[in-house]
Amino acid sequence: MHLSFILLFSLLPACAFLHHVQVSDIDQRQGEKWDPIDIKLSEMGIDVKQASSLVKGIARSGKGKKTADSIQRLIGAFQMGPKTGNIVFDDSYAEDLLLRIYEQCPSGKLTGLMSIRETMKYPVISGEIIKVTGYCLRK
Amino acid sequence: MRYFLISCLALTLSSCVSLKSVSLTQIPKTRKNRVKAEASKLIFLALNFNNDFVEEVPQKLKEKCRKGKVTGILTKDEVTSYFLFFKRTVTAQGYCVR
Repeated sequence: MHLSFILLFSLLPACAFLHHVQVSDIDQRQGEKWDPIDIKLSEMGIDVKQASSLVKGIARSGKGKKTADSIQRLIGAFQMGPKTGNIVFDDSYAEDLLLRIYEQCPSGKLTGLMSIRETMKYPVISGEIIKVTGYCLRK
Repeated sequence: MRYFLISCLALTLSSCVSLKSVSLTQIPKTRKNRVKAEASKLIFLALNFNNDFVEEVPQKLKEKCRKGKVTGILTKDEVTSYFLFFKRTVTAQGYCVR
């Protein structure tokens, strides 16, 4: 019964949560040609509370449920403080941003950059996303 | 009964606003021509499947300042909560310099 619910929820589309938007200066004074750029970086996030509930739902014995509860409390003790979206185990995914911008815009002349931080939430896991859109001025 | 209906209507129409994020770019010396762009989305029961509405904002700003530079942009992301709904609004206002 529980498994069918999990499968049903997995098939549903993800819910999108917007955390931050920033629009930078837009310069149209130069009559050069503009190429749109679109960069998306993401990392898998985990909802510890949901994961624990899932384990508790699957566990048949009371002992298994108690163990899942204890693990959730223990992990929760290490997850204090403010956070945006779900926890990820490696936050270095954001560091590739400059390289990816350079790949899409070798001239380095950028304008109208918009950076978005959002979360696409699925059951238990989530996509922690950084999106950058803008225009690259051709040489 | 009438009071109950009025209370329900008031509850439905009243809203609370919260500010999610604010950012600002460099402010120009000449601040005469102000331009503003806004994009919003009404979301029912937090069922939101994408944030594509945000992409309208730079496009609208671009159209409002042709052959110029939009600078000093203040970007605001806010949420207005209604009964069972909430509205996500992204506003960007800046100055068009030619």
